[in-house]
Amino acid sequence: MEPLQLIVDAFALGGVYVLVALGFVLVLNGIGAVNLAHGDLVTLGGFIAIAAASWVPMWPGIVFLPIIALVMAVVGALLAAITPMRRRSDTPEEMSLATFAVGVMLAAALTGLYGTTPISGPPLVGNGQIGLFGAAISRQSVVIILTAVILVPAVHLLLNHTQFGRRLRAAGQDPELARALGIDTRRMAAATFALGTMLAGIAGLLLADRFTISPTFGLDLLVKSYVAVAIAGWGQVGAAAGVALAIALFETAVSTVAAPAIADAVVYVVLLVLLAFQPQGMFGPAAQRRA
Amino acid sequence: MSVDQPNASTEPLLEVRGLVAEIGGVPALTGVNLEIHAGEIVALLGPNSSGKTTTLRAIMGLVAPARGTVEFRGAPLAGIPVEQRARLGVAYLPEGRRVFPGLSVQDNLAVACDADPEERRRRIDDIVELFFPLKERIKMPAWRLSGGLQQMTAIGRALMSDPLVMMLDEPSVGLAPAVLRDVLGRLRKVAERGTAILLAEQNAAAALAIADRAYVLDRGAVIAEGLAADFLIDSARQTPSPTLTASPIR
Amino acid sequence: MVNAVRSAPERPFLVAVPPAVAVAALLFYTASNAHGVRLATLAGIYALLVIGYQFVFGRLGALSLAQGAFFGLGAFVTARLGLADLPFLITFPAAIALPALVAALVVGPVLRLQSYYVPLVTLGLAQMLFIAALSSGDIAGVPTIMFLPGLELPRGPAFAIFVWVLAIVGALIAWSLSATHFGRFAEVVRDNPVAAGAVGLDAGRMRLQGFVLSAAYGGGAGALHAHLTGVVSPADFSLPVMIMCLAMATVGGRRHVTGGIVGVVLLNLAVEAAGLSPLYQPIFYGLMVLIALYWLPDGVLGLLERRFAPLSVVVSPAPQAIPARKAARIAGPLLAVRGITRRFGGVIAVDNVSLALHPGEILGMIGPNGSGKTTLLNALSGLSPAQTGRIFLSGRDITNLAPHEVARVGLARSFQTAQLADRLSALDNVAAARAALNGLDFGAIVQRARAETAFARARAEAMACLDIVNLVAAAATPASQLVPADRRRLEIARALALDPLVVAFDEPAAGLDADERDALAALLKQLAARGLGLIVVEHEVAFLRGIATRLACMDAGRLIAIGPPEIVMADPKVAAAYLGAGAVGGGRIK
Repeated sequence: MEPLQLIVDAFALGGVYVLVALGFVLVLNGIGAVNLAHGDLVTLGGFIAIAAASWVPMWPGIVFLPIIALVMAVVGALLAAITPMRRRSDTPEEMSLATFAVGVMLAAALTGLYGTTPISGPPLVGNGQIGLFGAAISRQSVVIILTAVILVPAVHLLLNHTQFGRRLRAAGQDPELARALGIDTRRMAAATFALGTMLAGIAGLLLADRFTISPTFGLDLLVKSYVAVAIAGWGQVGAAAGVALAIALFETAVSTVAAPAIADAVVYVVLLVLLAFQPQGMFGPAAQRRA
Repeated sequence: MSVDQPNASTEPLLEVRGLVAEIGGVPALTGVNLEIHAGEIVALLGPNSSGKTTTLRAIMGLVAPARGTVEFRGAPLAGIPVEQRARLGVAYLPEGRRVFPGLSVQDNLAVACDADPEERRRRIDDIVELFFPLKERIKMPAWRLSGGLQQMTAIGRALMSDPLVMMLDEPSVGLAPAVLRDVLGRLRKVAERGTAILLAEQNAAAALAIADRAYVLDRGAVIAEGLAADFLIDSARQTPSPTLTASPIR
Repeated sequence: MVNAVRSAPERPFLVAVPPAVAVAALLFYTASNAHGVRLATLAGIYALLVIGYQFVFGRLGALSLAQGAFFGLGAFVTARLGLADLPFLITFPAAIALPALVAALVVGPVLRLQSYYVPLVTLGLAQMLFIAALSSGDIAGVPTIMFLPGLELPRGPAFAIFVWVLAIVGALIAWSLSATHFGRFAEVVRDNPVAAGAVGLDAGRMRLQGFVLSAAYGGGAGALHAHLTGVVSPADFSLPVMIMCLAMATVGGRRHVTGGIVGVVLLNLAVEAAGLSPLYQPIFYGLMVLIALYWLPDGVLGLLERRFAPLSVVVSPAPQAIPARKAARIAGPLLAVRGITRRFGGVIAVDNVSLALHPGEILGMIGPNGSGKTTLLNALSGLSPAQTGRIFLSGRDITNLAPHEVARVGLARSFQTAQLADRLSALDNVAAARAALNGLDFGAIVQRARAETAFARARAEAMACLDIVNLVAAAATPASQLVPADRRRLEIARALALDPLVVAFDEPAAGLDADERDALAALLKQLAARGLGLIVVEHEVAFLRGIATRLACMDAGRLIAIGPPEIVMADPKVAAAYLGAGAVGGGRIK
C-alpha cells in the first residue's frame, strides 16, 4: 500500500477510536461512572448498519448514518432506564457493574446472531478513491476523519461551554444537589446515555464501513477508550481524543512490523507505568476527593 | 431593620403547617409551623438535631413528610418533585460546602442560573466581586479549593438563581469573620429586592443581626417565634433565650 | 443502654444453614441426574472461584474484572505442568502461586490509587492474558489429578468429593481471615480510603492482600477445572467466566463466604435445569446481575439476614479505658515543624512555615479562607506531604510517612468534612483505630481466640471513646445516618482512640450549637491537661479565645503571627488579613 494511503488509514482508525472514546467520556461525565457496555454498543451500531444494508441493499451507507444515530439514541435512553443509576445508594461500582452485565449480554446476543468472524458493513459513499497529491485515498477514510474532526470539538463545546453541558456534568457529580438546582437528573441520565450511545453507534457504523467488525471487538474498543481516558486524565474530552488517536497511530505503526497484539501489550504496559507514577493522568483529574 | 411585621397584610409566600417527619425511623419533626413573606429574612434557630435541616429538606422535597403541608404561593407542594420545586423558585443551600467538585468555580456558579448568557456573566462578575478570593481561581476546579472558598462558591451559587425563596443551611460555617460580614450584608440586599430568605443558623447572633423574624426549634417543633429585635441575646453564649421572646408558643 | 451492632461472624445460623441447604439440593440433583456428578464437581470449583472473588468485590468493593483471567491462568499452568507428568502437589501450588504473583506484580502497585481505575487495570490484564491464550490455542489431554506416579484420582464421585473438600477448606480459610484486619476492616477501605489512613489502616496493603488472595483462589479453581475437563482453551480466560462469577457473587451475597456457595449452587442448578447452551449462558448471567442489583442488593444472604437476624441480636460492649501509650516522651517540643512548603502547580499553599507545639498546649490557628490552614494539616498528617522542610513528632522525623503511619505514631486529626466509613457503625469506625494499634494481622488466623479477644477489647475501648464525646447512644448507627455535628464528634472519638500525642482539629466547632461548643471546649482543655498537644483550626475567634494557650495566624500560606492570643489579636497584620478592614487574603498565584 502507498505510504500516504497507509497514513490516511491510520488516521481513519484513529478517527474511529476517537469517536468511541468521545461517547465513553461523555457518559463518564454525565453519570460519574464508567460505562462498561460502551464497546459493545459500538459493535451493536456496526451490526445494525450491516442488518439495515441487507434489507435495503441499494441505499448508500451514508443514508444510514442519521438512522443509526437515532436508533442508537433510543437504545441509550432504554439503557439508562434499566441500569440502576438513579438511586442515591448506588455506588459508581454498582453502576459500572450493571453496564458490564449489559455489555456482556449484548456481545453474547450478537455472537449468537452473527458469529465471531469479522465482517464488513455497507460502503458509506461508494468504494471509490479520491486523488490526493497523486495518491489514491479511500473516500471512506476521508469521511471518518471528517466526522471525527467535526464531532470532537462539538462534544467539547457541548460539555464545557453550554448550559446543558454544565448541567449534565453537575448531574453526574452530585445528583441530589443537581436536583435542588432544578435539574431533572433522570432525564439528564437518559440524555447522557442517548448521546453517548449515539456516538457509539456512529463509531460502529464507520468502523464496519471502512474496516471490519465482530462481536468480540467490543471489549477491545472499550479497553482502548478507557486507556485513553485514564492516560489523558479523568473526564477530559480533548486530551482523551488526542490519546485515542495516538493509540491508533501507534497500533498501525507497530502492525506494519509485528503482530497487533504487541501494540496492545505495549499500550497496556505504558498505562500501568503511567498510573503507578502519575496516578492522575497526564492532564490531571476532573475531580477527586479533597480532605 | 424593619420593626413592624413586614408584609403583614399580604399572603405568605411559603407556609408550613403541622409538618411531621421521621429520618430512619427516628422522629425528626413533630409539628413545625412557619411562614415567610416576600422580602423577609427569617432566622431558624435552635440546637443541633432540633429539626432545622429536616425542615429545609422537607420544604425542598428531599424529605417526604409523614404529615403536614407546605404551601408555596398558596398552592400545596406535595407530590411535586425536587427539581420542579427548584424551577418554581425555591433555592436551597445544603449544609457543608456542597459544590460540584469537577466543575470550575465559574461553572459551579453558572449552572444555577438559567438567565441569558449576558445576564449570567453579569451575575458571575457580581458574585466574584463579593467573594473576591474566587476571582483568581475562577477557572479552578472546585475540589481544589479550600473549605472556606468552597462555601463561598456554594453561597454564590445560591445567589445566582434569583429565587423567590432562598433557604440557607448554616452559611456561616467555615467563613472568616470579614467574609461572613459581607455575606450577611449581601443577604439583606437580596431580601430588599423581594426574595424571602430562610436562614438556618447556629450562629444566632449573626443571623438575628440581619433577620426580620425568627423561629426557635427544639426537638422537632417550634417553641418560640417573634421579631428578631425582640429576641434577647445572651451575649456570652450567643443563643436566644426562648423564654423571653415576644410571642409565646402557639 | 443496649445497642446493637451488626457483625457477621457472630451469627452461626446464617453462616451454616443456607450453604447446607444449597449443598443438600445439589446432592439431591446429583443423585437424580446423569450429569449430576460432573455438575456437583463444577459447583465446587466455582465455589472456590467465587469465594476468592468476594475478597476483592465483596469486602473491598472493587469491581475487578480479572477473576476470570486468574481462573484461566491457573488452568493453563496446570495443563503445562500436568502434561509434563508433574504431580498435583507441585502443579496445584504453582497454579495458585502464578496468578497470585501476577496480581501482586501487575495489579498491586496500581491499586494503591483511585478505585475508578480498578475495572480498567483488571480488564486490561484479562485482555492481555486472553490474547496470549489465543496464541497458544487449545491444550488437550490434561491428565486428571495425580498425587504420585501411579496414584491418580479418577474423574467421578471421588473427584467431586475431593473438590468439595478443597472448597470447604477454602471457605474455612476465608472465614478465619474474618478475624484479621482485612476481614474486619476492609469495609473502611471500601467506604473511604482517607478514613482508613486516619485510623492507621494501610489501604494499599489491604487492597493488595485482597487481590492476591482472590487471584490465588481463582488460580486454584482454574487448576481443578483443567483436571476435570482435560482441556484448557482460551475461552477459560474470557468474559463468560467473569460474568458467571459476578452473577454468582451478586445473587448469593457478595459480602458473605456462604453467599458465594449459595449463589454458585442456585445458578448452576438453574442453568442446568433450563438446559441453556453455553452461547446464551452469559445472557442469563448478565440478567441475573441486573436483577440482583435491583432487588437483591446484598444477595440472597442479605435478604435472609434482614429477615432472620434483626439488629437486636448483639449487645454492645461495656466501655473499657484505653491503656496509655508506652512510648517514652523526650524533652523538647512534642511537635516541631521546620520550614515546610507545599506547592500546587503555581500556587504556594504553605510557604516556609515553622512552629513548635509543647505538651499541654492548645495552638489556635486562624487565617482568611484559602490561606493554607488545611493544607498545613494535610502536610502534618501525610495526606499531601511537604515538599521542603521537616516535621518531627516527639523527636521522630515524620515528614515522609504515609497517613496511616502518621496516625499510628501518634498524630491524629479531624477533617473539615468528616471522613468516615459510611456504611460501618459509629462504634466500628472507632474500633478500627483501636484494632490497628492492637494488632490483628494474619497471625490472627492461627490464634483466632486471641484475635477475638483483641477485637472485643478494641470495641470496648472504642465504646469508651464514644462515651467521651457523648455518642454512646449512636454506637450502632451507620456513620452515614449521623447528622453532621455527630459525624464531627465521631471523628474526635476516632482520633482519641489512636491514643495520640498530638491532635490536629480542622474546624471542630463548625456547626455545633452553643451547648455542644461548651462541651467541646471543656473536652479540648481536658485533653491538653492530660499532656496532649492540640492544634485547632477555627474561624470562631470567641471559641479559640476560651481555650487557646497560643494563637497563630496564616495568610497567603505564611505564618504572619504567633504568640499569646491577646497579642496576636491586637496585631495590625492579623486585623488587616483576617478580622476585618475588608481584606480577604488568598494563596499567591504566580
